[in-house]
Amino acid sequence: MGGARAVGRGAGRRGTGSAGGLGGYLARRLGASALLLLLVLTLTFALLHAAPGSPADQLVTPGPGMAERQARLERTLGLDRPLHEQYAAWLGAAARGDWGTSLFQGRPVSRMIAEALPATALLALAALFVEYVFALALGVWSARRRDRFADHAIRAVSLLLFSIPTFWLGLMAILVLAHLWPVFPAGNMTSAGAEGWGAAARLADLARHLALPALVLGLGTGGATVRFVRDSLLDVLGEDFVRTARAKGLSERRVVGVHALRNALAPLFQLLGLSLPALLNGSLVVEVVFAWPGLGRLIFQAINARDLPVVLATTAVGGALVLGGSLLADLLHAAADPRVRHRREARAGV
Amino acid sequence: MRRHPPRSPHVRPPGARAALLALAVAAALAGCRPDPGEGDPGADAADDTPRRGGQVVLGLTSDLGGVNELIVPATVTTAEVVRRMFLTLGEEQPDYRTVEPRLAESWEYSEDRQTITFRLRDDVVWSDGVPVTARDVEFTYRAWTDPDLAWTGAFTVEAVERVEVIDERTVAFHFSRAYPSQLLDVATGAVILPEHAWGKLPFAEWRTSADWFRENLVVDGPFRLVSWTPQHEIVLERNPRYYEEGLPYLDRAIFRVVPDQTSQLTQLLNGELDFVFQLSPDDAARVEAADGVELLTYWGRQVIFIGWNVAKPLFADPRLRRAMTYGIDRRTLVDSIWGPYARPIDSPVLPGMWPGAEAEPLPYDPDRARALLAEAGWEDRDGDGVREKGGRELAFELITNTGNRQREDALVLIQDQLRRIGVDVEPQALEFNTMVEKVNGGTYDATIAGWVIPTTFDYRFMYATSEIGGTNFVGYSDPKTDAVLDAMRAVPDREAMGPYLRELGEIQRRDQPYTLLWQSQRVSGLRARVHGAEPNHLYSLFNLREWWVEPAR
Repeated sequence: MGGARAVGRGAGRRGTGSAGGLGGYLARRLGASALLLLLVLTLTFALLHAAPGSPADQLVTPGPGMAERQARLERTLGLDRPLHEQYAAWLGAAARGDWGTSLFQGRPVSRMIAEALPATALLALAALFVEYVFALALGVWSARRRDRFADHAIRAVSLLLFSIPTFWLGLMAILVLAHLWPVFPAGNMTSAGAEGWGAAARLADLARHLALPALVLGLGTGGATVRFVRDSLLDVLGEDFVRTARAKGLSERRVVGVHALRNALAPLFQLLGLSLPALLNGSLVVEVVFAWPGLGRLIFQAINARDLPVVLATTAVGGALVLGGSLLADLLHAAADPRVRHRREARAGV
Repeated sequence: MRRHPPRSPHVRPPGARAALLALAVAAALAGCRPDPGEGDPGADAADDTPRRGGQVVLGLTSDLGGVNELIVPATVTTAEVVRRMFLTLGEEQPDYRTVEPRLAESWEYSEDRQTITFRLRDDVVWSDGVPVTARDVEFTYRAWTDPDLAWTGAFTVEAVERVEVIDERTVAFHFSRAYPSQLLDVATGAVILPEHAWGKLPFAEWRTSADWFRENLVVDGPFRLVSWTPQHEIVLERNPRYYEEGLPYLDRAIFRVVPDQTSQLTQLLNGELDFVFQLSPDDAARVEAADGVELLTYWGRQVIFIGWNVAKPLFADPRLRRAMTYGIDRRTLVDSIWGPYARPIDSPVLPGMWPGAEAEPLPYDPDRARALLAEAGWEDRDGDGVREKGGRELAFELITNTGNRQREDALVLIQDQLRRIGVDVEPQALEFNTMVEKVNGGTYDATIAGWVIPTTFDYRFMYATSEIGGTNFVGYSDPKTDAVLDAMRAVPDREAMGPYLRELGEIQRRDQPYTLLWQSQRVSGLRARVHGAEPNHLYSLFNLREWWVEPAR
């Protein structure tokens, strides 16, 4: 695995102390991420095998001689070998870029993931957009109306969204916006037969199908973000430079919208990185409810069927996304906030 | 199959639909049904002439496994879709008796019934124009039995010794012995595959080459594959080279994967889906009341039962197992869980499967149950409401899998009913894989589970000693039963199975290794604009080639 090499390099650089700066920081972070990923995969593998049920249970057609046929199939699939051997074999192949074949579909796992990933990425991006537009709008409003009715109402709504199970929110959205008042389709990614339409019509169709799941996923994760934006902005509004700006006679719009907000947003980048796990988590549910053909569905189905190669590979991809996201968030945060940057540079220089 | 016509006429003012739907949903939420008085039920009988063209959109809960059914698990979805694209030699009919000619126009048995010779049609071609010949049949047989390919259904053709190509259109299956489901096994058990296209890939590579088959797909059935987006959509279109004149009527059949049942229902009511395979019984009333949708109900072959772990001393005594059956009011159980969509059963030979093989029902008779328990030595001496014997209480765990509402409801109802005869049941719903492991490992007491009864009437999987450790997880073993099962497999003619099936019913009635609970109906939903659908216990899309739709308004 590429990550394993990065660990060695990172450690070496720190040892000599020559590289320092962003390069050394990156190498250390990448190394730690790779180790973490390896740990997650090992745990997943162990849990999958500790959990009851074997893929052979579901692969074999019930009928005469089932026990014997099951045993034979387990031998064919190599499931009777010692666990560490199976894991080493999988890890070795994965490091060479071979993620194996789905036990249930006979298809290369890498291709299955490549097919599912764009749908999830699209949904996640759209949801992220919804989440942040929603959180910024309500968060700023709430902060400016601090302790007034709007503030209380917004805080209540955000708490509600935070506590509602995404599954239920999805079903309610379908009931209200797809059924009682059918403005959006109830699910899927496109209309039946849409593949024959023109590009513009297809894009519009995709947008219509994307709207509800993105809204549900975005609002579901956005509840907490509203409060984060509000509190962050309130912190900043109390600082000296805001008072200075006000004293200079700048309009309130400029004070809040430019000076305060820009400073309040820096920590939001970090939150962005942390949003990724929540989004991936939520998309698992949203994809099932809205029949969205993404990674979540693939994982869900593979876990139920104990399709080991698919579970392991999707875990690896999901884990890499989450770790990569948090790394990116830290870098963005550093870029946006000079204090973080300086602290880091100071430390690296020692 | 029973058909429930839509309650409202087809033509209605635009805009009224949303309002009507809203009403239906509101009514369903409020737990009552709208007044069925409106509308004219006869209005849609206007034109019964099938029409060419159009498309239907069908909802699947799980994706297609693949286009080559030999290398993927035998799921309902895969069978339904693959069999719309490929032909079998014959077509099994829902009457449990007949096989209609398909790829084979006729067949005959040899005198000793150890050979069946098929005569193929001369007008069937693969979608690339190459004729379907006896060579394809022989190739398919080699695929079935190839050890590297390891088809999980290979056990069904174990008795075939060899397949002989006599000429381009004639092919003979030679069996090592004659048995009643010979024809079903080879003529309807699996589809015939294209040798000229798929013979290029060595069998050893089949299991890991699912995509290759899709890229090299030629078919001989009524529909061909246009596109398949995994987890999303499968588009079939009419195969212009299909041999039946004028069929299929539909231009397209679009399958959409919608995993959530509630979403499926919404899409059906909205008109995004034309067909939903399985509705929950709770939703059936809502669909029946909705505008422009009809309900199709037909008996499936799944039996739901309590399996008693006979291998445990507690359940070794048939008197105790009979007492349990007498002590469970199955009629009330089924009515309260399923309403009209299921019925109690008393024999694994389900009603309608074999006229004359019906077993006499064991009635609900708690007094009889109490007497039997007392006779077996179980009495409540300490007055705590639970019987004991030799210091052991008559208490056990009854398990089933989560995610199945009907079975989970049954757990609780049965607990309550058995308490009245002094039995302490601890109900437990477990995650599916956990339950399977417990059941297969023999560490359970009793389980609510289900089997689909095969149309081959081969009941060894439930009752034979040889299947203990496999499908016979209750551990039932009885030499006389084994003899009956073996004898049934040895009658050369299917028609001669009747007496054995009756005897099997008697054995079940006497020994009760399973307390049979119910047989349920499949409840499908269909938009009223779709006509000609005749789903049955074999396939919901059995005659998809004869479905047709009214032109779009």
